[in-house]
Amino acid sequence: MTNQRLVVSISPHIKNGRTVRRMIVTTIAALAPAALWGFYQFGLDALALVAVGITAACATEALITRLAKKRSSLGDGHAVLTGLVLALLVPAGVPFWLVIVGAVMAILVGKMPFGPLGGAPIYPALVGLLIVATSWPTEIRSYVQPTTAPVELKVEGAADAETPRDAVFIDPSDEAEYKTADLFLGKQVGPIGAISPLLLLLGGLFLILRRVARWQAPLGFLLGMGLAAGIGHALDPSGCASASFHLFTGSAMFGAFFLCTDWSSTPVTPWGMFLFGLIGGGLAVLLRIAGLPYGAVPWAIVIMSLATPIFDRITPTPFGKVASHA
Amino acid sequence: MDISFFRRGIKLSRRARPGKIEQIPPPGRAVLSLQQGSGPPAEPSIEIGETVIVGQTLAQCASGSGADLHASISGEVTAFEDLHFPNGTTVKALVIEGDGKDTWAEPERDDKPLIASPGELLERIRRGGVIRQGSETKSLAEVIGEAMSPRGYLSSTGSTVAKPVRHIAVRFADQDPHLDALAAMTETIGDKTADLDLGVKVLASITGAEQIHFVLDNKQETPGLDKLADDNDYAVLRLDATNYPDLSSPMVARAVSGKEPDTAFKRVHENGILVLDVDTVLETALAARDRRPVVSKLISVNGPEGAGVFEARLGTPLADIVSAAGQKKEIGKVVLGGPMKGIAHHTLEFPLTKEISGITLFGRDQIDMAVNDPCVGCGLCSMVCPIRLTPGMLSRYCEFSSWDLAQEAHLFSCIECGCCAYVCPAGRSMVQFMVQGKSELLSTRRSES
Repeated sequence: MTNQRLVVSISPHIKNGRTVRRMIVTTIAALAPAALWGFYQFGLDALALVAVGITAACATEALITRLAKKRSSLGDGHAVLTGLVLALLVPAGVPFWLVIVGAVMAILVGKMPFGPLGGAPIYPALVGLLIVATSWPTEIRSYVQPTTAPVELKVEGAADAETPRDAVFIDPSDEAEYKTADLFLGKQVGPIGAISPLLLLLGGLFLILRRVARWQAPLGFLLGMGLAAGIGHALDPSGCASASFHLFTGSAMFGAFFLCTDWSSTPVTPWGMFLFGLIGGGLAVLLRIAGLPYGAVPWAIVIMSLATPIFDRITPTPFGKVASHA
Repeated sequence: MDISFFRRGIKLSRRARPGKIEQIPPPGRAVLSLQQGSGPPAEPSIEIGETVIVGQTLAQCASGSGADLHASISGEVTAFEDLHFPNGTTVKALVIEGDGKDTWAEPERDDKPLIASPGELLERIRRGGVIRQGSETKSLAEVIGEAMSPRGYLSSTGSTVAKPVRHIAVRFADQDPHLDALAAMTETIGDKTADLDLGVKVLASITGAEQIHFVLDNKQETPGLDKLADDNDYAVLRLDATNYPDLSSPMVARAVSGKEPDTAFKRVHENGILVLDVDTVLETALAARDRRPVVSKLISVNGPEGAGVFEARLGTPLADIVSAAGQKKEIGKVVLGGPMKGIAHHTLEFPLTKEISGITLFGRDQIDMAVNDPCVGCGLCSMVCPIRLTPGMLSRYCEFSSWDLAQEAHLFSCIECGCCAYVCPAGRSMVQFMVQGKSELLSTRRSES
């Protein structure tokens, strides 16, 4: 056993085997039930949109790493996740080119300029989504009648005022038409992957149990939305729908569990995460009441992401230190 | 208020049950480092060519820090040799060529050691070469001295009021659950309870400690210990050793005192809590009563082919111990200590020293190569950090040489337990960043003052 070459390195000498790739695969798996429900509700168009979104995102990333002569980063699966999230956040009736532009923008503007994974200050998929939502406000609202829906919704033509409306933007006085249970079970109109609060909740809990996401930000977000909507509803029932309505519609659940728990664009300290979620949730309700035509939750989270470095300053008191009350 | 729902730290596996302690025969040639544990090396008190017997003093600590060194085999001192430590330093070592007779020095037994004055007992510990094992290996006498040295403001007034040591915690399991030398020793503690009790009483007599705690892994069955604790009013505390690093000194100190010790710039024992391993306490008893110095050591070996707990003389080549454990295949990495906190060494041609509590071996295929990708900001490290730091942020500060920011973010509180690196999905060498940051900051400070 003499004269053999031994490896030296700093401690620890064992690891739990967790990799970036595995964590992203877990996230995709957690999204899968909600995505499958979307495919069931909106048909093959939805599936095709998701496929197009993922392909466009991966192709863009491959092209850019190639042009920049960098090691290909496709292997970690983040491009797949970006394309998937983007496609799940648009309605099933949007044109294909819209998803393609969104996915390209997500990678080109949202991810790659900030270097390797972990640098993006805003969730890349949201960058792509909000670019296309702002650029084509009519096309982005091409909602499709789901297979099972509580209310007959008129579907006339493609993208005009008579297409079924995102539940959030009906007049709050029409809220009675929706049963909370239906909304929770995913019988509603909305973006492909965001219509089933139940499945998103389960997926989110799976992520938390697998320690891929932390509970503070989702809880804060749901609490923030619930509180803001509850207060708004109590003050002005005709101007603000109830808390449960706000929580179970649009991309509220999706945002809480899959957008607020992103890595680089959200805080990492316990209180930072909670406050990030809490304020973000309140902001999302405000944006909805203010009548933002699309993407109140994504916008709220993007705005909060810009403040992430501030939230990251709320660090816990280290072991053995006396809490400072400065 | 800390709102982190999940328990901090990480979950490690424990070895089923420690095996029997196997004796390794005295080696034909022993290499004894003049430095055992941190602190200055001892001054040799013998000449080359002298014959020595087991237990004879070879080198003495000059300044009263450090600990004495004794011959671990009988034979002839033949040479001084350079010994390359894994931390990069080179230390002189004495070589003894054994005569195979294993003659022991006659012990000067003192049947009533507790009558002796605390100063005398401390001297016996120092002369017995007792080293405090565990996270920071250091002469036990020196550790006690540091724990009791007067506070700065008191000594400046000329007063010699010693700091009280309130708690002594005796650990019966290693902080790294992969190491089981202490657990194996505890299995057979039944016939050594008298020694254990004496060791504890000697330490209490020196330090004036108010409360003794026995800290056990919750899986350990030790009826003898429970009785001893009952009879003497020692507190017994059971922790789960698989919840790493719950058995590390700061965490044990928190568990026994209910107060978190400050881990920055201050060692745990300077907070009035002495955390010692059970083998140190037994060595203390032998040094105080039998004046028997430390010449052998329990060591736990963990390898792909073999594992076990061995008792070997100091200076035994590690290769001998490893082959006694049944390791034959080629290995890729040798770690002195456990997998979480041990130091990797480049060779097995290294003698057993007092600070080595275990050897962990890895086959070529088992080595985790550092990936060191950029931080992805997932926050897992902040979730597991037992010190409640934000290691990801700290590692980035250190990566980009923002030393001041790192210090502001409490870099010096880090205990280098390695939990952050254990979970890091980007494979970052977190501990390396922390250690580098600390040494950069300390060297700047030194050059400024």
